Amino acid sequence: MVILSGVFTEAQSIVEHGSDVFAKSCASGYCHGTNGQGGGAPKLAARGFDEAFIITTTRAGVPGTAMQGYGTVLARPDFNAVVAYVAKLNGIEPRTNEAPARVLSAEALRGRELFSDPLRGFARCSTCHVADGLGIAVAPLAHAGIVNVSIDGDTFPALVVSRGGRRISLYDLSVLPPVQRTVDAGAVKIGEAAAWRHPAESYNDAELKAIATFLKAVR
Amino acid sequence: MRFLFALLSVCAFAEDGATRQNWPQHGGTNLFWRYSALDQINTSNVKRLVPVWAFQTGDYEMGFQATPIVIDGVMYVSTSRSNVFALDAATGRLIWQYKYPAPRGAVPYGPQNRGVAVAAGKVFLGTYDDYVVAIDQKTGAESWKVNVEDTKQCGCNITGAPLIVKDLVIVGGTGGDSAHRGYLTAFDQKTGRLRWRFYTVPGPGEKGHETWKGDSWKLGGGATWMTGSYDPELNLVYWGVGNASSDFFAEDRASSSEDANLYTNSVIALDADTGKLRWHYQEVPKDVWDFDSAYESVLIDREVRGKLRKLLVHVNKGGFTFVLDRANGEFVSAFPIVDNYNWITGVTEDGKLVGRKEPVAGQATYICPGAAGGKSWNQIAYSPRTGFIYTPSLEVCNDLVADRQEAKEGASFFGGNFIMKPPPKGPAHSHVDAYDPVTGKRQWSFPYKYALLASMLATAGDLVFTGDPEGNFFALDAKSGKKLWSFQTGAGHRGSSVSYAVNGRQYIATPTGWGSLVSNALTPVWPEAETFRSGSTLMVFALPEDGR
Repeated sequence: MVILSGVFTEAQSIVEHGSDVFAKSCASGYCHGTNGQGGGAPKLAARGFDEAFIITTTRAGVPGTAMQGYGTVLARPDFNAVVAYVAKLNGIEPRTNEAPARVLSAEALRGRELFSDPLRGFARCSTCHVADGLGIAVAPLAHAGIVNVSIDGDTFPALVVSRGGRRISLYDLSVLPPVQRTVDAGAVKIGEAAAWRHPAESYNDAELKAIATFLKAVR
Repeated sequence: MRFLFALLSVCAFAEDGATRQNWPQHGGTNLFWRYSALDQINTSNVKRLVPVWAFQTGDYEMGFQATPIVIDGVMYVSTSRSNVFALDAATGRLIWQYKYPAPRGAVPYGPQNRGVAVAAGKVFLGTYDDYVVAIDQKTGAESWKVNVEDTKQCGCNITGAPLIVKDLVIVGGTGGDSAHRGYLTAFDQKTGRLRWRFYTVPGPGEKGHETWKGDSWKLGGGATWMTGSYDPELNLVYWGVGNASSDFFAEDRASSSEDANLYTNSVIALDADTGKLRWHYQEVPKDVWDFDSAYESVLIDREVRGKLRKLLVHVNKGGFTFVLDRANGEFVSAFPIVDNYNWITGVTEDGKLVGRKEPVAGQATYICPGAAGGKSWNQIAYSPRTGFIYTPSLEVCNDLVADRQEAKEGASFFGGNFIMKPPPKGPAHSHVDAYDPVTGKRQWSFPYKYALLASMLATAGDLVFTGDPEGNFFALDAKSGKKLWSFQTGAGHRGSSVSYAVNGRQYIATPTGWGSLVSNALTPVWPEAETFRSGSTLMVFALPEDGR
């Protein structure tokens, strides 16, 4: 299960979500430690902090220390959740147990896992596509226009992403992961539509169906 | 004359890991000696060393941790936030700069960067949001860029320098303290296309998979966060592999097997062309102390018990140096480089760890050295003139608490926690030592009251250079350890100095600027660490031009 950026899984409270965000961003032994028990940086649990102090410090950081400001770093729901979690560590109950931003069905959650399944290495959707904050933005989900290009006598299928007068930027799709090449316009020949097929062989039909359910749910 | 020829041909067989005019690779050369054959600056004149130029990068976050690369009078150096500068190595004049676009959102482990690699007209960079970028060596324009993994999901990124091997650029990554499965990845220098990947934790059906319990292999650690070495004659790439995850709690991952959790905490040797494993040596089976084997492998040829052997010298985070035969991974010897260790009582003559003291779930266990290591990632040096290695050691312990933790991909996955503590007798401190790597005999020791976290540089002038957190950059006599020269640079040292020459003049260059995960976490044992200054300035020294 991946940590969901700005997304609550089924039946997850704001504090539980905050605990996940904290585990990912704050809990290292070099920093605030597991459950805010302290490490290289101060202990945060049972310190008598009030909510305003937690919000200010989390947002702006502490100048001159390794504590950076997270105000622009975390997505809003994650920020609110981690503040609620640290507040809870200091005995402050969340004012609202905010309704989850969205609930995904079991099938959609399975699809979400498959979309970015680390066990498939580069042969997963998220190598090239972004959905629900996961993945690398090489191409939109629905995309045509893969062409053959030649550079230095090497011809390969590519997705052209920008075409200026002097420089051309494109993705080499001959192997995964795609490589973004930026070359002088004169050094590249752009040809016809490529006989390129979208790779999906690492998934079976049932898995593709789950992925489709996920994509529909988050669209 | 015939005798001279015979001598030369003998020398030609021994590997030469010395740098000269250039500092072409991260470790000096691919043998990783961090040794320069330049001797213009030496024990008799080092007192006259003066600063000749400085370059302020402006990127001070998490310190200036890089090793500069110097080729034909041009220096290529990376900073925090994955920015790269090309400088005239004689004057410090900016030739080009490559400003990396800031990624959206938080990145794990931080924006620090330990250096670039240069080959085939390109400068290669691993970025803090986990891309590999190739930059045109002449113009600084981006040539290609490829994502290694989605950093938001994997809890991993790249802080180490890439390694150049033939037409490949090989990169490791962080992630050992996150729930993540480690790997090494090789890309084509020219096109950026994937050439091979080696997972440090074997999957189903692969040898070594049986050393993992249940599904724990899926997020089992084994990060490759520092830079490896390469022996062209054997065509082997050597890389140190980090801790098993979770760091301190092993019940959910360790099988009963003796060599549990392969290939974490191991040195691995891969075929350079295919990325296939040729041999491995696991220094710490079933790690429960966060004792990565991620550090540099120094490749030297030395006589051992009357036989010339191709050796690999490797310091483990647990404070022991392992000496291996790099042709086959055979254990040769091991010796401690810290005075305070209790996680084991020692290593047997055939390489077995004895007297393990493991952290207990739910209660503090006092372990030496601490999880920051008996040595941090700052690198050792080897001088073929003295035959010694020069090591920076930390005498710091910690209270470890192991704690079962559920693995969530990309999330912090320590399985407990640590709090730094001083050693049993006396305050925390550190030292630079010279060791004969074959006998393990300590030749001299240079003590220091705080943490030495900058790399060692050895030169044919019989000097060893390094810096301290208070800002001093200094030279020791390689034969005696006596301090011969020191200069206050104004900020603490957490990088790797290098030596090179332009138009016959020898230079010593060092990054300055305190900061890193370890250096930021020292206040429990050194409250003075609050005063160690960050910054990001490259300082370059030489002898005065008149009357060298």
